[in-house]
Amino acid sequence: MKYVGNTGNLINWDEVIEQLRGQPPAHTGPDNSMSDPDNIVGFKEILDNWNKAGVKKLSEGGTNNWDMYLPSKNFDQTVVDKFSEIVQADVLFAWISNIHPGCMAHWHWDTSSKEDYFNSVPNMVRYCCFINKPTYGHVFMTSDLAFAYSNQGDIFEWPSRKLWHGGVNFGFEEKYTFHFLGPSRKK
Amino acid sequence: MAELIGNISQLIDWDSVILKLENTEPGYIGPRHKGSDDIIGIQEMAKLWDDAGFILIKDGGNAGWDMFFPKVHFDENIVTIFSEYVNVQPLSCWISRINPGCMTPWHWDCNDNEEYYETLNTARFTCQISKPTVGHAVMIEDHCLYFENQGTVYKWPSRKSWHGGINCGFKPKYLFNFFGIVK
Repeated sequence: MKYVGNTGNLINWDEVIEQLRGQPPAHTGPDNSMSDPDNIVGFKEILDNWNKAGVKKLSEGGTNNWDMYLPSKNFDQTVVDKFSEIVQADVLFAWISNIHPGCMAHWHWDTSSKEDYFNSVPNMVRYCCFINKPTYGHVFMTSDLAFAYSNQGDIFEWPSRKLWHGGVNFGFEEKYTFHFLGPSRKK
Repeated sequence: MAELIGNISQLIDWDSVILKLENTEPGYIGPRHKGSDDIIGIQEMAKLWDDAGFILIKDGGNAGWDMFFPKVHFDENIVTIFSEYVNVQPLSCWISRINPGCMTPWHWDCNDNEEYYETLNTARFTCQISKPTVGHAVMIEDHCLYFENQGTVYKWPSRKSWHGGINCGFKPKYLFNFFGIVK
């Protein structure tokens, strides 16, 4: 994971979060993928791993659950536009995830029904941005790195769009993260 | 911030300890206390957990951890070796296990003997006894321990440091815990 910088004063994340608090998500993970796991490249392997470990989603009495908020629908598209300028990449997909206290996004990579299309796009880059103020109990993990108590607005570039990762919330505040995927404008 | 003390793997075979615990029933599943118990700190913590919506394992949720103790579940000699390594006389020691999908919500270790412990010069340590494993994290105040080498020992800022642990991986997560009186 490469530290890119901080969104600084360009995006008011507190305002974005406040806007999200009052509305239901566009959908929730992993339920969205579970509706048709066979048609999503890679998801069956993830699901098998979860099942072997006894991991259950919220509707099964478990805590493997996260909310998904989408631009235009749940938050202002200008947030994505500004972010796009900061990282110099064109957006293909952007979203804000929220993990509730006591929940987690169990170990996975971001599979998609558009996998073939994403694979065909050159120079794809993937970023995440920690948009909460530093908060106890909020941890984001990749294979050998963990990010906790991160500064609000810190941006990290992923080594690969298909990086395995997990996000957890064993604190008392909602855990919001901004995610961005698209082709880089850099040569 | 937790202070890195060193690595004790040369002195204790943690793989053997874990292997034995894998087939052992825990002493109990934490938390042991109820929110209504008259113990310093418990009621405040229980309210925070309830307000945040944590659900205990016993109530069908994932907030909980297995507890193992010296003599009963693992060799007491481990405590002696560890005690000499950190030069602290043991007061309490245990191994916790967080199973995949489970967590220890943010808390500090409230004790039955809190008033007595307050009178002592105590130090608190943890040792990462699982091999580095994806999805296993411990957070002590603002410091996150992740993918640490097996046997790595950390001294906590305080016995009462707020902390939590999580397992969003696929293997059980074991942690050796120790506090005692500074010699």
